[in-house]
Amino acid sequence: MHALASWRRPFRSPLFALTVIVLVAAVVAVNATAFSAIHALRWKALPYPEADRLVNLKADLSKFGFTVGLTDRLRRAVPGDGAQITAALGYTVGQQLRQDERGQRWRIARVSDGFGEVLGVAPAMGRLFAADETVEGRDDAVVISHAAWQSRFSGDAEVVGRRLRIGDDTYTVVGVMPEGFVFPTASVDAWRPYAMTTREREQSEAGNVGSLDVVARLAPGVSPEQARDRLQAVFLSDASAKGLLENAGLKAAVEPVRDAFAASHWRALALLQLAAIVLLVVVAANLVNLNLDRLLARSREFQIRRAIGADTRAITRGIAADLMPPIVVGLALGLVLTPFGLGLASRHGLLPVDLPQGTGFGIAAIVAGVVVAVVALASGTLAALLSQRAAALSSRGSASGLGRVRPAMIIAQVMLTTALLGGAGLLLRSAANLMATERGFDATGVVLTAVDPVGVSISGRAFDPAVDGPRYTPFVETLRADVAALPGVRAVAIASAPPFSQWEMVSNMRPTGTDDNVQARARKVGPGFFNALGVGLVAGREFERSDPASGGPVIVDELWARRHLAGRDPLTASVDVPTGGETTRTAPIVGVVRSVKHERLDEAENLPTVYEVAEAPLPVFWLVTRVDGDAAAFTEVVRQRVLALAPQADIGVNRALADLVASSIASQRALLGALATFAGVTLLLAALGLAAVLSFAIRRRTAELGVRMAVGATPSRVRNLVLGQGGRLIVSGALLGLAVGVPLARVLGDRLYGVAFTDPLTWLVAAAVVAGVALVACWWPAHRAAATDPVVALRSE
Amino acid sequence: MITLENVEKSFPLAGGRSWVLRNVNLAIADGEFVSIMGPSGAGKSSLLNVLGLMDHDWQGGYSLDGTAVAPLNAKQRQALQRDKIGFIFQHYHLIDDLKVWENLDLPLQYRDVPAKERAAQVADLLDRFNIVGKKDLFPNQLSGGQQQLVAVARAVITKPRLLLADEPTGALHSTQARIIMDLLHELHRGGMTIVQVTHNEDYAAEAQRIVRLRDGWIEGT
Repeated sequence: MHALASWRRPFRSPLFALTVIVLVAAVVAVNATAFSAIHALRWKALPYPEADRLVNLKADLSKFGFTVGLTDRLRRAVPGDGAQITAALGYTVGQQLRQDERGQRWRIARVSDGFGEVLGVAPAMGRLFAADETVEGRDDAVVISHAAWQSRFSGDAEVVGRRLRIGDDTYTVVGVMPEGFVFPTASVDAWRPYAMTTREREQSEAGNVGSLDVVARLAPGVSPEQARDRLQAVFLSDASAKGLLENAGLKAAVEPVRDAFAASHWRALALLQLAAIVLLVVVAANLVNLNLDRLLARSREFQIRRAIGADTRAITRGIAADLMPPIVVGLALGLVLTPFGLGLASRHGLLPVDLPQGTGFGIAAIVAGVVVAVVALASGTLAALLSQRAAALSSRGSASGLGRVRPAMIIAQVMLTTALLGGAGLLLRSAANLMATERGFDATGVVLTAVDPVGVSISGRAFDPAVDGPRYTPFVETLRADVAALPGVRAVAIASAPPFSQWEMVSNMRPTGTDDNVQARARKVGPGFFNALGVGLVAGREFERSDPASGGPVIVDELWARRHLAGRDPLTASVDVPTGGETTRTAPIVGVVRSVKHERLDEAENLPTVYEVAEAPLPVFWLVTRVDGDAAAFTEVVRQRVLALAPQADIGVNRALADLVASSIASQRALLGALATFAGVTLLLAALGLAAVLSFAIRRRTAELGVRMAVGATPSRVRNLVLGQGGRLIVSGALLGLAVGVPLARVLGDRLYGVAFTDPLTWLVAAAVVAGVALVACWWPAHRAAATDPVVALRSE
Repeated sequence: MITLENVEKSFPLAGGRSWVLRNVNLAIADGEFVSIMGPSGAGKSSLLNVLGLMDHDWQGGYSLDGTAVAPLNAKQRQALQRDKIGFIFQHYHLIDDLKVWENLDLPLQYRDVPAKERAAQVADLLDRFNIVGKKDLFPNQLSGGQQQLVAVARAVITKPRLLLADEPTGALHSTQARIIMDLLHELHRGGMTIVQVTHNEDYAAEAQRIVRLRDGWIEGT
């Protein structure tokens, strides 16, 4: 009965209870989301035994500025005597989903030998792959995930041995992995043996790195640095790596498996957590204010309680007990909202979607939520203590009716808001700089479509260059001409790897007559490509239909010309283009075009580009279409044209180029969005807090304001008095915000583009915005103070 | 100095009006010292508020030093008040967070008197009221009588023609009250018009005239 009463009491002031619930729920949800995400990245156990011994092995092509996977030949060489690395597992993950006969979509990973040995996990049912199943033609075995077994076979106990048709291929289910096992990401439904095709084997033997991701298990006590030395030794001793060591600056790169995701997301999430803590502090300050007002209104009740024997501790305990119910409700609501927060973070790229360890609601969320609730309760208890200490509320030193604590809280709120808004401002300017950066092409109205007429990429069909090449070459031109004839289409061209397609090919493209090793991005494009993409021509001409498809001329970009022709006229020079093996052909340069951004807007000018003319870069080619109007809406038209001409074709990416460019900075934008939202909420709360505190001060000073008016103060003087009081707090807070925010913004450094973390304009604007909003918040209490009726004010004394 | 003609003040109540001042006619000459007396609720403080231009919600005619108050807007009334009137309150109403000299300085600040001139006037007054030694103290470091002394000094620092005192001795014991009454006499002798509200018959009798109020009506003068 007594407990029930203590739950009812706070709800007798429904507005107060609701405010506490909303504030606590919001701040619990935000902090629990951020902390859950960080916990998942940094500390949550991976679904493999002794996961700290698992590392990713990579080839760092230091001269090119990027890191790629290995070849199977190198992978097999890695363990050696097993002293550093006991086993290495190679894998590839299909980028496209494939449909089974029931219309369900599968993502399948191909895994080499060492699947069970490296990951340390045995199947829950059936077996893993036998050695002979890694041979091409005998690789129709498949192991499925527990989730796939449940969702696609309804947990059928007889699933092992069943046949499964996916695309054009039929597999036999040989095993089911245990519940919770995920590799390499949660999006993979099944695994099949990595049985190399002839072409893959050729590439592997030739040292074309990048085809195979590799994860290895370290021997006990071996550090990643020792593993890196071992991998570097493999590079140095394997003949296939010789070319890359000389030309690409090949270096071994080893990182713990956990860091694969953590490295790219950790800093953004840390910033998010910092912002969430700032929000918590601001909310706690508001809770203190809110409680103080309420408790001062109850001061008579507390005097009575004291008169009948209650001591300070008993009164404080009672106040804290009153606060518990709304805080507990807020905590519960905040925890309910946390999974939605995690979903939001994943959707906006702040958190990897497919973390093997999962990112769901768990103990981390509860810990964060409870900490927030304790802070909220502590802020309420602090208010209780302050309300009983007159000195803290009104002292001569404060000369404002505010006491010492409230101005300090307001200054802290303004300070934190300025720091947050400054950070958001820096990210905003950075995003604007990125979007405005010279990219070398015009994405307006451009659609990129990856066309795979045979169905190699998704349907898993084989491509035979000898048969399918001549068969599908006419199709490429037919499709191009067909799309070009559509209304609204201004230009169409074929390309092997247009900008932001995430496709890459690097070759030695040296100036004729030199022995230099000139690594360059090698592109094959059809006539009209530069026009369709809006790439400016600096000299010479575009490719023309009369240029021979094989053995034709090349076009180089400005960077290649500048680096390798030393002021010579490019149109009199030529390029030695590799034709396979050690042989090359001499291709005259017929044009120089502007350099373009290929993968990221903030990429450095590291590799030049050489364009060869191509009629049909098969098996997969890209259609670059420039249209009048909405490019995104036109993607469906292109899709239908492709399928009308080749119903069996797979269509990969089919998006507006502008969308692909925007996606490349999605994580920066998501962080910007999150920080800007936090800054906005913090600003709003700080403004409300300021208004509430000043209103409170005015209530306490009613008589004084009346006296001031009686001795001659005009309303405008009284208004200015209050505005001045608020203004001093705001200016102090904003200056402190700059002092704290600027050094803190150093952590944003790697996310900024074209703007320094100390950028004075951004910080001044942030401080001005905070000060402006805060002054507006002061206006209402100041206006009310100016309307004080001296008769009423003096009577209230 | 003051002429009130048929001044009335009332509040609307359910089923009628509550009258605070009824048909008040009063003339106070320049340099006169008048006491207003009456039981609680008689309308003494209300009348003082009307006289002091702090209350604008009344009907009738009021002329202050030759200026008709009724037609003035709020700003003009305030200017007139700043120019002509000083106030003393029963509970002193000093500003706790300001030192003695700062309390005296405040009315001059509000009248935009230059700082140098203000300092001189404050110093003069501290000297005249014999409170130089208290100038850096805060009000709560003074006795009630000393606080009221400062309040009187604050009221007269702007050299008002009319001093309105609302029970100036009401919160003081007799020795302190005497000092304040003597001070009022001194100001009166200097030519200041003084209207005091008081419950104390003896102090009321020290004025030249007593105005008695009951239920908002003037009973006699």
